[in-house]
Amino acid sequence: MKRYEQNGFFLAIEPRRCKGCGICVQSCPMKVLILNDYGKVEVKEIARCVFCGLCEQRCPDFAISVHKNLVLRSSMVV
Amino acid sequence: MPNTKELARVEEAHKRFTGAHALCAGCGTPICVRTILNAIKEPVVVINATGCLEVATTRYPTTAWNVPWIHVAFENAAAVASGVETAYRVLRRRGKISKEIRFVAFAGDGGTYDIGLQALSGALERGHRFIYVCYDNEAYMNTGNQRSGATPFAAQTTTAPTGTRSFGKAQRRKDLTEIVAAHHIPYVAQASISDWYDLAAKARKAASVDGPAFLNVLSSCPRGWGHPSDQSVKIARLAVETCYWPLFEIIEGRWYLNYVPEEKLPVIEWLRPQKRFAHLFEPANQELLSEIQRQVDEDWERLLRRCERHETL
Ligand code: SF4
Ligand code: SF4
Repeated sequence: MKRYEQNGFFLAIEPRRCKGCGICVQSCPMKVLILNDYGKVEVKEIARCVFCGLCEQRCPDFAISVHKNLVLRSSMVV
Repeated sequence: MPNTKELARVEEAHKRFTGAHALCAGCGTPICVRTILNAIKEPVVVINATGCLEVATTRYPTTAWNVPWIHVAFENAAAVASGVETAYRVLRRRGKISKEIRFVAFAGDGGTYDIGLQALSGALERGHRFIYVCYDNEAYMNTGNQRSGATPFAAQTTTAPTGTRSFGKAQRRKDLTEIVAAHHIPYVAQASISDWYDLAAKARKAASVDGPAFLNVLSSCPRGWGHPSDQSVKIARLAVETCYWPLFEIIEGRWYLNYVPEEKLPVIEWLRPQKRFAHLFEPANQELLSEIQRQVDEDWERLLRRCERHETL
């Protein structure tokens, strides 16, 4: 699992769950996310993220999530 | 009112539905399921009809569900829900269960519009307290895109192909939401995976009514509709913005429109990105496009006349 931290929040990405559909990339209002060469989601610029949670809400595969206070919520542990 | 953080909190507390299922990349169905299950605060029991959701989330020996879950057959999700709910009521009366439990049935459009319609009608008429969710991807997608009662006019499917003598499905889709509303149940709503806030609020209302509740949720299918997987949410949104799939609810027989687009987009905006409608853009099929627009306008006008309150989300 990859973590991208900023201001006490972090974005967690579990590449093993990602099917590369790209819904999060399209949904992100701040254009934080991209699909990498392997077709998996990756953070391009965490500084732009406002931690709105839209990418988490819309991911069909539970591969991306937003966490507060740098604590990983247990639902994301695979 | 629901917000993404609140939905995430419920997900964290209950972990009702998880990833690593085998639904296609970009499928709208898991978005629909996770939004609804996270919006309901009470413990849930899930009843599943046969369909993509059922086969792809329960590959033996694994499962994507972390709630009591039952599947019996294609046609009887509503009948199974009736039985489970009745057993629960009896156990409650005898004092063996004290918890408030919500029963949620998930079925595709094949299992709802066609095969499961009589079981659904019966359960609604008997007044069981359960939430029936139809994730509507507008054809039998699990078996490779055969036409169903939900397939829109002129859409191409394997059993309604295009060719010199055929332009796809020749009939209009039936209006299931209206059929369900005719059962006089306390809560009926139409929603889309694109508007998660609206969907979550509707799921919560459905869980709070004492009696049957029905949600018809437009759920895009990149495989069957023929669009790139990252466009799933956008295409569901275009269906709402073109008024092809209006968001409305019927509470105790009164109709409320939940969303009126500022500018109603022409329906071709919704048709164009989908391969199942590609043949409509050939010059010979011009009049089919205007026919579809006419149908959408007609349904929209009728809905506007019917709804008491028009609200923008
Ligand atoms: S939390 Fe919001 S801003 Fe941050 S990556 Fe996800 S969608 Fe973009
Ligand atoms: S066929 Fe369509 S509905 Fe079924 S899992 Fe794939 S995208 Fe989803």
